[in-house]
Amino acid sequence: MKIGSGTIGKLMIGSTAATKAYLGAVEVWSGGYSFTDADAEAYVSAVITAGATVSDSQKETIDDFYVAEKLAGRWSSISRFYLPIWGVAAANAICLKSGTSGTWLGGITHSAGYFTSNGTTGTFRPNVTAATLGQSINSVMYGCLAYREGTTNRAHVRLGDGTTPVNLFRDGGSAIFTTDCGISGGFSGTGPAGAGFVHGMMMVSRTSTTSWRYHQRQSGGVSTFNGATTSATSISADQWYFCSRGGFSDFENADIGLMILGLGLSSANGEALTLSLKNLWEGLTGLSMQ
Amino acid sequence: MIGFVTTPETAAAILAGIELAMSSRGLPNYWTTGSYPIQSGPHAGMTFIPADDAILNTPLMGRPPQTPQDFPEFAQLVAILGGLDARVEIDPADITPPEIVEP
Repeated sequence: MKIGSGTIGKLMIGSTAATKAYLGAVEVWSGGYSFTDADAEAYVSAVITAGATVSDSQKETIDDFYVAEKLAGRWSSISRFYLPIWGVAAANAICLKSGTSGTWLGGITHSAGYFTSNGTTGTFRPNVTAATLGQSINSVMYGCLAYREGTTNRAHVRLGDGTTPVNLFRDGGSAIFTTDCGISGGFSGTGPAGAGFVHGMMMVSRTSTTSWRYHQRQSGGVSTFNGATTSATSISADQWYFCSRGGFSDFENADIGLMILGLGLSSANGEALTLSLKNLWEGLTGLSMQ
Repeated sequence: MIGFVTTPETAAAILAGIELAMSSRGLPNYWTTGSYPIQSGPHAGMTFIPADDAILNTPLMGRPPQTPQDFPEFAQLVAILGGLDARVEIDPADITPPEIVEP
């Protein structure tokens, strides 16, 4: 809509921003946020349809994230990415990358900014395997943002609905991660473990049998721990799960604000992505990661 | 844990019914109760469907959000399971597969 020769970007009625303007019964202008990235707009449209309320500020934050990650060259390494922050199951299940939906199972509380498993039956299943995502022993990435630790200090990401539990961020004594990915032969590493450490933006990235690492970003910054060389030769054919593996007793009940799966990243890109994800989540929720 | 104890066949039918309730509306299968084989305890051999009040009041979609109880299919599926009063409480350990070895 033009005023004279100028195009208006925002129409104010006093101190209130109008969202539409009419000439009689004809709509002549519709305001609100204008997206730069079409994929960002598609995601936001989908979560709104599913019941989420998304402010213009949140739209801009999401848009900026898509643009920045594509510019940085990391977007192609992301395979599945979920923001369970909208308080509604359908919206929380939508993947920002693929547009597909995962499935919530059992007891899940959908809060503003995060979800929480009830610790006994609640889990999220992206409905994909490593093979589906093109992940392999030489290229895999997975992680989540735990806003607050649960009472179990246990794993947040699992690969496997068989009998072999494979855990990420498990409090196994001195090891923060053991037997990850169901990889034949497994691999393990060391890092901070126990209560007080199993939270933040946590991510494992593996780029070869001799090069993999665990990034843990908390409010004070990021720490990266390099894993030991392993003779692992294959990755599990089972499905991915977050928070639990169905009937297994090792459930966890942390407040989870973000879940991600993808291909292996360099150490620098892994650290950068954890920062980008932290900023995205905090910008959208108004919460501060511990 | 509160929910229904039923046969594996009935549990499969219930989950299929939940999925149909979504697919028939053009929706992805974004939510389900899930079901778990009962490994031990008095109901060993049967299948557990979690269904406490929190699960049955999960905000699913829309504004204001609909819950599972707002769907017409809900009453039909619960009736198959014997009604809400047929729910029982079981020990979470009863659904833990005994062969799992925690590293």
